[in-house]
Amino acid sequence: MSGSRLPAEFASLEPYAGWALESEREWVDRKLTSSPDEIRSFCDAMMGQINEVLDYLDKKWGEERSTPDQRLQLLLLSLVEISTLVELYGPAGTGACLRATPVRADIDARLVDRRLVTTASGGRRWASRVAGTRPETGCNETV
Amino acid sequence: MEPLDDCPFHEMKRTFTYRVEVNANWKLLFDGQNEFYHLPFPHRHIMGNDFVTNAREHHRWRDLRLYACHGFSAVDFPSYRTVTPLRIALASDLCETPEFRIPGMTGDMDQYTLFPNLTIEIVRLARTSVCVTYAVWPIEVGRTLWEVRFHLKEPASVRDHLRQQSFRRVSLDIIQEDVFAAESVYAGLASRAKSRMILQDSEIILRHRHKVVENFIGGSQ
Repeated sequence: MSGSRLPAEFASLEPYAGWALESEREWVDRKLTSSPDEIRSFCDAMMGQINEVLDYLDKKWGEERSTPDQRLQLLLLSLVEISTLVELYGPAGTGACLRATPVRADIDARLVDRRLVTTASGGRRWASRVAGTRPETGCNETV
Repeated sequence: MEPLDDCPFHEMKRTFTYRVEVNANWKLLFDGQNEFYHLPFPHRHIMGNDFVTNAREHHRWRDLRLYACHGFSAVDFPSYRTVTPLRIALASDLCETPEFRIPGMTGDMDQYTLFPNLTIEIVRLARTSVCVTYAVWPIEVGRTLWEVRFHLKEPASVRDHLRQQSFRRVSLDIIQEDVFAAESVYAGLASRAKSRMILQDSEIILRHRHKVVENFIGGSQ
């Protein structure tokens, strides 16, 4: 969906269009690789217009959505994905929990069939599972 | 399990399935799934006081039933629950959302513990209801596959859809914490530093299930 734009009413959210991700795996990857400041900034921008965005999309519920509308909906799903970090964990919603507990991030990744591993050089990267060595995992519904 | 007879499972066709391998024994993982005593501790951020219904700032059982092999428990939610700005925004159309109630529910959250490895959880969320099933599959003594399935009704609006997604996300956070706790506790038990584990009154479902397992495998020495 790269290159598509958000509905004109929500042009102010354009800097966050990169959060319009289609799969749960992408949501988790984005969450785990974003800094607390990036997560907070995205959350603040979305929450600043949350009722307008919800009203706009709810009026079109059940209709075939345009690409910009689909992208706006995907932003909402990313918002839900990071919402617990901002609203429920960490002092003042800084996402400190994510920084402080890499185990949590690892389990989140395991739930969607990705594992964040520490490399020999000390960096972090995603490790893909070898097919057949583990049962199929992850969400079976695209949203 | 008569209360499930009228459960409209056929209307909850929207499913999300998660499977995670946990470095813990299957019985330990199942224990964590079938009691509420631990909720205010590892889940204090994500749940807050959402299960506090007695003066001791703990949950109060609405009902408990012990069958020959199976178990049933029910709890209510308090009248106050954790609200956040997003939850408030998502709740603004609740009154217009069609009701979806599960007939025969005892509390706000009913949990069926089915021997040997399945839990069916039915949760009332405002005007709707969801079902979550948890199965534990032993892989080896210290390794278990945990399979969690969310069963949801088709959403009626964008807000309804996002409320479901929010429930899924919160539940995954809880599952993360349970996995972390189970792996930590199992590592401690596997060290053999302690020879006994004490289960108190509010863990009666676990005590019953441990006895059932014990009887099934021939009794303890």
